[in-house]
Amino acid sequence: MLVIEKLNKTFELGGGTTKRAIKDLDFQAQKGDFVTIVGSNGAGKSTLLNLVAGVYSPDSGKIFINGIDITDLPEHKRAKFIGRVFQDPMMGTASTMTLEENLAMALKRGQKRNLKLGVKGNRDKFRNTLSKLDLGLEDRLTDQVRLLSGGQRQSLTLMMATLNAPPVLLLDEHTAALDPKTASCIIDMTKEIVVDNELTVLMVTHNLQQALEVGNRTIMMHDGEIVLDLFGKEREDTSVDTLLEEFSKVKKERFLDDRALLA
Amino acid sequence: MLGIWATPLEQGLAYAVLVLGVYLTFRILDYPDLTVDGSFPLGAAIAATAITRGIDPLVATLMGFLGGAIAGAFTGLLHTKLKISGLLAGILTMTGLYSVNLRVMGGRSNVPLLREDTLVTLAQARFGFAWGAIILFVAFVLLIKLLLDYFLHTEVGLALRACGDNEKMIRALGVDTDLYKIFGLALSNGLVGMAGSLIAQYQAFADVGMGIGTVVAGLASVILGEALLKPKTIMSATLSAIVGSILYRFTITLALRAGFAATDLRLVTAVLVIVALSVPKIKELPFFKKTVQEKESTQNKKVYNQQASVLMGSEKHASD
Repeated sequence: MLVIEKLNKTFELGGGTTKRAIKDLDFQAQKGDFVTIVGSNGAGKSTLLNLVAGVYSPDSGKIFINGIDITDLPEHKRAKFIGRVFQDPMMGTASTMTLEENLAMALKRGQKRNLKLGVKGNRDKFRNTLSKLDLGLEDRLTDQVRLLSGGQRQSLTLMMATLNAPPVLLLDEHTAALDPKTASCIIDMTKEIVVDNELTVLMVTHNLQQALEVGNRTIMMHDGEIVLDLFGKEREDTSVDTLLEEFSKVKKERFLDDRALLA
Repeated sequence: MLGIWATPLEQGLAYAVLVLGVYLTFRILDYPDLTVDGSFPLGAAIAATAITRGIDPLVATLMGFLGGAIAGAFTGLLHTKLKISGLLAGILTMTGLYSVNLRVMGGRSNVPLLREDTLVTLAQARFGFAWGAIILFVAFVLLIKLLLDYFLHTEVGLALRACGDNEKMIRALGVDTDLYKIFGLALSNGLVGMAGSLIAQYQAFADVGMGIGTVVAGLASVILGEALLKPKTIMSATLSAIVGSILYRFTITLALRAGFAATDLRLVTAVLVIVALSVPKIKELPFFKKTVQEKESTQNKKVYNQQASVLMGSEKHASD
């Protein structure tokens, strides 16, 4: 369970100008909630994810995961609570290391690392994990990750992010850089993993169709605030067009730009 | 039996300990660490001074490791905690170490070990003058290579490698990358300090100026080894560092034989590294690409012509 209370973050843009990226944001997501986040560029979606992950520290406010206050924990100490998949498939894996070495590192997420061989004794587990992907990666455990395609790397990253089921999973446009077919594969995998492990998921996406189809809740952000929170029946009745209309309401002046961007 | 190759082989093996250290920072951590030029003579100074004070040479060698490790950790602290750029952090430590090394050697610029028992003299007493140093250094280098191979596959070692490969990712997996970088630099410079201790015992003196150019020589060795063995795994990479170190000393010996003055060797080394580093870039230049293609196409043509003539020849032969 993820609880965010009165979160604020302001960036210094230099030259005395500042940007309030997150404004007094309150948010709660239960265990098993799969929340998709939409909003135009600069709405604060990625900033919110980075605040939860600990890349930035907030100016004020609190963040709790399963009742534990993580607001002041440095990024590496939050790792045991949070799995992450980035937009760039290159960013989630170490390219010069093998598949099994990458998985071995993920297996020790947030735990003390010892002077024990990392891979030995875990190969069967890794093979099982990768065989779920149906990409044949289970036979390439000793290949370097740089030999994989973008989609394969992103699948591996997803497996690594959820290998020991951290309570919160953060997905920052994790299918945006992939071709449509691979993207839908990754989305299916994501759904499966989330259901199996009962995680709390925040997924940023620019694909409105995806935002409404995937998960059980959709929030729209604008200017550092949550302007729309859809779930249950109301969400089922919402179409991409009504979502776009909502966009236009909160942001009339740049509606056309956004329509071009989001359609 | 080894003739003129005995000295470069011994040197290459002793310096291989240093090259493994340089490999660790340059290749594993992706960190251009110039501390080496200071931690190498530091290890030599510590070991030489300790031995002249009657400390067991093996203990003195380990002290050299420790001294180097502290110097490396200092560079790591400057870089990670004070946010000084990687290159500058190394240069600052190296510069400061010059004074430290003179202090360690009691204000003298040279500490001779001529009448002392060192690991080298002990090994020569045990295994004979010709093979003593070689056996000693082979044992040292192999032990360190195997330990390093093992370490780089442990949970800690994997995380250390990831720090150089994808820092953001391994931090997201819960690793304090600052701490790991400091540790990696300490380990690397520990090996460099140990190499300094071994070289001091091998040449029977420590000198405050012996560190100049060490980093570039170490890098040249790494590159030579990689060019020869094209390593794909950690095991083959550490092996290629050792082979590269020996190959580098052989190259230097050949350069001397070819008539280069000893004073020219640093320039030779620098040029060697520049060429090795620039070859991939030069290959990308449009001019060079074109000529390569042309060369290939003319080569193909030649092969084709050859095949054609062979065919025609055989036909001729058959018709005869």
